[in-house]
Amino acid sequence: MKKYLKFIQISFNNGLAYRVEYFVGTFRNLVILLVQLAVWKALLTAGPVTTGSGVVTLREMTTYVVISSMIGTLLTVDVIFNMNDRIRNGQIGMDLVKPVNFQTYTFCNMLGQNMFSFLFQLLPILVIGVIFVGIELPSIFNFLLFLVTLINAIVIMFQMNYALGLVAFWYMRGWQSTIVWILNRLFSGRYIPLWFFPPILVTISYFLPLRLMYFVPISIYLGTMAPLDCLYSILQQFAWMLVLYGMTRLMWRAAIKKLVIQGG
Amino acid sequence: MPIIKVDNLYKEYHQRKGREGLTGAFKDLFNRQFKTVKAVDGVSFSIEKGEIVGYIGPNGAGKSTTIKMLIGILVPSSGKIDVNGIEPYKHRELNAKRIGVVFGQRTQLWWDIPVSETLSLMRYIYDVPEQQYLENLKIFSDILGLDKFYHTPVRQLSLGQRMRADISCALLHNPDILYLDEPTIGLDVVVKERIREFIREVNKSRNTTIILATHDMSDIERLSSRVMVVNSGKIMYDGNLNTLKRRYGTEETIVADLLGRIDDTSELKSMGVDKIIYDNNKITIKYDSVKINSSTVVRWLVEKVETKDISITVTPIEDVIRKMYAARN
Repeated sequence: MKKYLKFIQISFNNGLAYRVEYFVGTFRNLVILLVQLAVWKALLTAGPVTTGSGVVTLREMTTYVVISSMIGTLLTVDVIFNMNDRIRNGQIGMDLVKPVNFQTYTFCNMLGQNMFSFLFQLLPILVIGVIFVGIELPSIFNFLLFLVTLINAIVIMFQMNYALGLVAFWYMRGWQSTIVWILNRLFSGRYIPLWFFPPILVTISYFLPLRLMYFVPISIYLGTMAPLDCLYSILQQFAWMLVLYGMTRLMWRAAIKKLVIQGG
Repeated sequence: MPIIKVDNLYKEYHQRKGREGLTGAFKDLFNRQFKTVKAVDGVSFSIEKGEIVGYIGPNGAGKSTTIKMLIGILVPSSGKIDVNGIEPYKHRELNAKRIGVVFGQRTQLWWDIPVSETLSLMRYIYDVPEQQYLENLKIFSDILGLDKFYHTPVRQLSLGQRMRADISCALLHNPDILYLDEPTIGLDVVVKERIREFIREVNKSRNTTIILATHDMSDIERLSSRVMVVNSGKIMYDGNLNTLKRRYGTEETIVADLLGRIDDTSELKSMGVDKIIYDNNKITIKYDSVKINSSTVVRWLVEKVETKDISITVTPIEDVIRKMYAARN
């Protein structure tokens, strides 16, 4: 167990080595956030809008956007890039030489990175959100539920990325991350809440785990989701975790058989 | 009871044949062609505990593929491998605990953090007791000079330093078996010698079994008495190094840049040297390494005259293999 804690710590330290990259990322996030805020302000300045699922106010929407970009700092596709690189250049051989479970090791790496992102990317957005934007604050109960769904979202995002990272054993091209990126932007509610979606897209989103990453946690934070729906969503999250866990296990077994360590 | 037993081992790859040019690439998109490459072609051997075995062959002979199967990160196409009583690829993590691995072209160090951090991480990965950890760090510092770059981030290390750090990592947990794949590739003579010295020391003091894959004959000369020669996935020779040399490749050449003059080279001839070319300040000495060894010649040279640079060329493995084929036909 200790070794995995150490992995998290090392990955966090690695973040320090690339701190300038992180700070540039922080700046980029803030710029994108400001653009979004400006757009929604222009759209909703005239007054609240009625959607299929109720009335949306400007304050709700700005809160949504701020929370969404905070979550965005934790849900990255770095795992896919990382695995693709390691598989393509054969460095994965050096990972497998160690008495370590590869999936847990990859997960720990991500956690270390997330801790760094939390401090240097998420917190700045939170501070700006609370002081300058004036976001809504949730009830304690909603906040706890929000935390649960967010932690689950991080796990699901990892499992999806890990599964797609493993695809590199069969196809040595990095197209997977692009697909996740596109689907994620569309169905997760990262930029536009599903409230504004036409019914057909909403229906599709129910069959994908992506809705559970941004839209569900933020709706819970805002208190716009009925208690029963909250419960359903959390159950869905656990179901997806189980499915993805089984899937990645099967993929790993097949991948190991197929494994060709590239290069000398 | 051998520690490693390999029985009739095969590994085949399906390699994609990429066709040339733009039209070729377009054709590949719809109709891929594959060819089967036999990287390891029916290999059998066994290795006793405490042996140092040189696994030698030209590039692409299947050395690395065999090693990867022995350490359990590559699944054999067919055949049986038994390392310490288990099949490595079926019990990768268990096998990994008992072995140390160094790949010359790769590193297992964490690129962006100091060597010290990687070593302390290794300590947790392998559950190394504190006493053993400190003892080993001291040995690595004494023989490999690890303390000189202990706190340097890995990406700032020179190749020789990186290799020494990698070897330290591989030996921290006192493994039963140490696999070395081209551990001296691209290193200068001094560092090479230091690493060979250390490997010999580890083998002697801990009875560590050592498998050394290389295409550099001189690596093996210093370390092992047993040698396996592989080519195109097959073992061509398995036995004593001296016998191999006597049969196929015994000629060595020493080239030295001299600062002074040698008055009389006839003494060398009487020592058993075949040929001497001497002009101005450069001397080339060819000899049969069965009759006289390189250190005798070098010692003679150093005693006689001040030298600027000495290099030794042994028969390359490619020549040995060519002679093997010639002898067979």
